[in-house]
Amino acid sequence: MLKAKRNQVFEEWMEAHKAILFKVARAYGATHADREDLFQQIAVQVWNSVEAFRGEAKVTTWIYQVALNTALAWNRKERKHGRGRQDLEAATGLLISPAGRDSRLEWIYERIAELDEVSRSLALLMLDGFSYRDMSQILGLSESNVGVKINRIKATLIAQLAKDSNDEL
Amino acid sequence: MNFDQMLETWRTQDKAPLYGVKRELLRLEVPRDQADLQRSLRRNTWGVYWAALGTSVACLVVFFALLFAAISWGDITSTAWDYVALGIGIGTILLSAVAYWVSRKRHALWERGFGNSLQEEIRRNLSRVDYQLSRYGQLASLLMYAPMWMALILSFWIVFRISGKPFGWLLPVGCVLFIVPWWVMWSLWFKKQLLAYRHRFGQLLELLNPGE
Repeated sequence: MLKAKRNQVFEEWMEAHKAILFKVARAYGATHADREDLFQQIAVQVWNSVEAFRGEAKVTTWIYQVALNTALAWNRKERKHGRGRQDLEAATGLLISPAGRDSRLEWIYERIAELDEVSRSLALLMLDGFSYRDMSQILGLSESNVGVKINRIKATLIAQLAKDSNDEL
Repeated sequence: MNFDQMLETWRTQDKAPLYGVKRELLRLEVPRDQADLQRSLRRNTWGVYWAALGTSVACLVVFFALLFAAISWGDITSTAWDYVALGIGIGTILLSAVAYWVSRKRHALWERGFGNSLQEEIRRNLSRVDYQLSRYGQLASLLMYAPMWMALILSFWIVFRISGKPFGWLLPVGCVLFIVPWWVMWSLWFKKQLLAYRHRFGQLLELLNPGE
């Protein structure tokens, strides 16, 4: 594939599906600098993956797959180096923070961050309305296994909702 | 907030994304990062080996050039052993390069068997780590780094040959005793990193398939 064509496809994908990258970066990155770094890593991997895309899966499924694989690999690197990063020091200014904050959305991301890394992937896919079949394809698990895990995540979230609804939500 | 309201809140991100992105910066950063990533992968995969092989080749070239210069100037007389040593040096380097190439090819073929899912990606990474770990103490690994040891031995042999003194073991043994502990320490440190990776991949697989 020509570089110009690849760049064009990448631009189109980024325009249409950048929300996926933001969500994964937000769910796996603890600080703003981490999220920028992860967003950039995912963008690089998406750019890399353009050539390998054969159209057998939906673009959203493909991008989620690339994004989640990158997020797990990125976490591994962070652990390996064991560096505590400072927000201001590492920020590249790639992402522009929102002017206002939705406390409900913040609450959802906080609950997602409390899950283990694999369940975090499932929670994101569930919230974005992916079918069990798509989830099993992205994660490489059986549909029944996905079902069991999703039910557990839902139960956890519902219990947390019931607990916190009286307070701030 | 109930569960349905939570889903609704989540969907608001699609209409109004969490962040804005500086497109010009992204356009600049992605190809640059891509090049960095490729460089880093190449460095990790080939770096240590090619550094060892390059040093060995450079060392052998310099010492054999000195030896044959000394012979051509008439300082020492040529013997059949000079050519045998040269043959051993070249042969070791060729054998090592072939061993490394075959080993990489075999593993690349094995890696292609994995799919694209998250689980397959973790298994692929695990297999890379296992491949690195499996090279500890193997004949293939000895062959790969053989040029370093051979270059060291031949360099000492040439030094004694040019000086005209009989081969003494004290200097080479002292040198090896100095190098080996560092080599062992580096290997143990590297192995520890690999085991940490292995543990992490194992944990992720356990999260995906509990009890398996």
